[in-house]
Amino acid sequence: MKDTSITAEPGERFTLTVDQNASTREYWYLVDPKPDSSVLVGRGQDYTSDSGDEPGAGAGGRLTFTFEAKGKGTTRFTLLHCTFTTCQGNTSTLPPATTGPSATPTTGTATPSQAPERITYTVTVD
Amino acid sequence: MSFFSSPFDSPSFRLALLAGLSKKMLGAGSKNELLDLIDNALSVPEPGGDQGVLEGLASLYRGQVDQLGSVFDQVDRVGRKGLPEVWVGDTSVLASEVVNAAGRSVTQMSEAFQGCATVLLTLADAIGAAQRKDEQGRGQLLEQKKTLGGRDGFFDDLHENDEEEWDRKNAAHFGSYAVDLMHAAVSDAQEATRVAARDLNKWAAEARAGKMETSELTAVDKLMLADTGVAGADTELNEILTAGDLTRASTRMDQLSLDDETAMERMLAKSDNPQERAYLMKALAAGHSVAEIGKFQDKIHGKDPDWLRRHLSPVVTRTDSLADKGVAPDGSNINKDYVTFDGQRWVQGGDGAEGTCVASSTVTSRAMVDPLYALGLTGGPDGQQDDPDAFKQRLVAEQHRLHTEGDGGKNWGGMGPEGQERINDTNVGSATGSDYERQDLNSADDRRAVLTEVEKSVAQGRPVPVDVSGKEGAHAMTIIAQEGDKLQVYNPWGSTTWVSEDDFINGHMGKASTSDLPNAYSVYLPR
Repeated sequence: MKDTSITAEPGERFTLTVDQNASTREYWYLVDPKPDSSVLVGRGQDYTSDSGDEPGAGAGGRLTFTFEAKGKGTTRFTLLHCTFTTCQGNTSTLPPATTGPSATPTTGTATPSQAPERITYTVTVD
Repeated sequence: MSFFSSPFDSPSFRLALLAGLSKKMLGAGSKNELLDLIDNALSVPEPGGDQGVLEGLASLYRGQVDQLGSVFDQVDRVGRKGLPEVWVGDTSVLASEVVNAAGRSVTQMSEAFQGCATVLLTLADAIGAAQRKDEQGRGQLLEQKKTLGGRDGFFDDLHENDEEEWDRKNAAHFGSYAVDLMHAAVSDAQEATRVAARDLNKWAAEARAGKMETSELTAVDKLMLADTGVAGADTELNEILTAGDLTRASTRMDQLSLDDETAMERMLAKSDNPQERAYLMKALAAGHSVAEIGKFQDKIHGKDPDWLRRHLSPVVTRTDSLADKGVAPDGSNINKDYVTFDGQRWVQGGDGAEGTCVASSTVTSRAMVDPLYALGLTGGPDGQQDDPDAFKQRLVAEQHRLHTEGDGGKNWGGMGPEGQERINDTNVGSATGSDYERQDLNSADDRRAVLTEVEKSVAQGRPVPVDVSGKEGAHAMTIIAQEGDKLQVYNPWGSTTWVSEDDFINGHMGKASTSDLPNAYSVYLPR
């Protein structure tokens, strides 16, 4: 996902797929600021497990965000990437309360000084 | 699970049958059909159990408590008189320490008898109440039967007028309600029995010194070994030797050659403190040779009890860990503790980032039952290290090894049930002398039914892997202890917390992780 520029035609739908894993608490969230809704709207997200029908404990899956281009223009959206060390107290539906260092001390362990990764995508619709 | 000589012996069968009959009554099309259903329900036997016998047993147990009172007084008197610094037993324990241990043991015995008496009385009451409820339902069924009168002959059965229809529907309504009472009676009796079994099993596991039957150790040695907890923690929640350890160590002592036995006793006698002695016996229980145990002692001898605890006992349970302090926004228990070595958690991937929950929880389970294995990870090859980074490297390497052994997914992601069962057998079952068998849990009833065996296993010191899932994935954790109606769960995120039986049965396991993973769908039972 090095390339963060996306172009689309009005009415076109596109998806973005990332790795998610409840066992390692790796999660992604679509966060504010929301994209300009005259240019782009979010059409939800869907998770599918890597291990198929049988739940393999520890196996992650793929989370797919769907977007729909509306009218001509340029806008941005931002994804927040949470991992075990960069976010605390979050779940698949609950983003972290703070996006800074850990609020829960783990005696002796270096408290995570990394903030969770934010990736901003620029979408041009023409 | 067990063999029943008649289907009626199975409570599950009776519950399903009665539930079905209750429903069918409401839909019965004729008087004869309804009468058949009523007879069917009446043929189900009442909940078994003799209230009087149970109450008699309870009195017997309570009677023992008085005798123990005088034993305690005598032991207490000796202890308070003060004893010379005399070494006793085959393992050279201080006489004064023994007397203190004996005093505690008597108190525990008294609590056990009292506790069992209460369990039996509670069960007696519950069985009595269930039988009365069943009788009430049965009585109402008989009344409805009388109201309906005799069976219709062939021609009457073909035709039902309005009044007859009303009578039938009325009887069906009351009959169904009566069968529901009988159903509730079976259900109440079943749950009361489960709780009694759980508590009695727990008291049995607590009768610790008696687990060692070997004649190679004196009663004094056995008392001390059973009574020893990790340093600086609540003894009763942190005994070094589990009930299973005591039994296995005892059996092995009996099987040792004379040379080995002498070597073992010399090692025990040489120990500086009760903790060192207990860890040596734990190593024996885990199946190590006396030669290996000798090398182990060389590494740990002379170390303070705190050093011993952090190197050899990953999990320490605080007394207030059992308090329910509510739930955080992510669904996890606020009251949780961390399992760490010098600040580094016993966590999958060393930092939580690898999907090796199965392998990682297996590594921790093994470390809990085998002190040599624990020392290899924490203290390194020479057992002398006290470095969290070195520990982290060794921990992760070992998690990787087990992940590969269990045919885990690429990029350290996930493991299937066959692999999970296998690595538990070779790594944990080998030390505890058990064979792990997976038990899938597809309903609340399944989870309730499996609890008795889960609780008995962990009370004996055999960890029980549990897999949990939700819409967003699956994760592996371990049930490691039980107190009353609470289960202690280790999460390979590096933490432990207590959940209730209700949480386990009704899909609230998220308290031990997050609300993304509420359902226990599988356990692995050590058999």
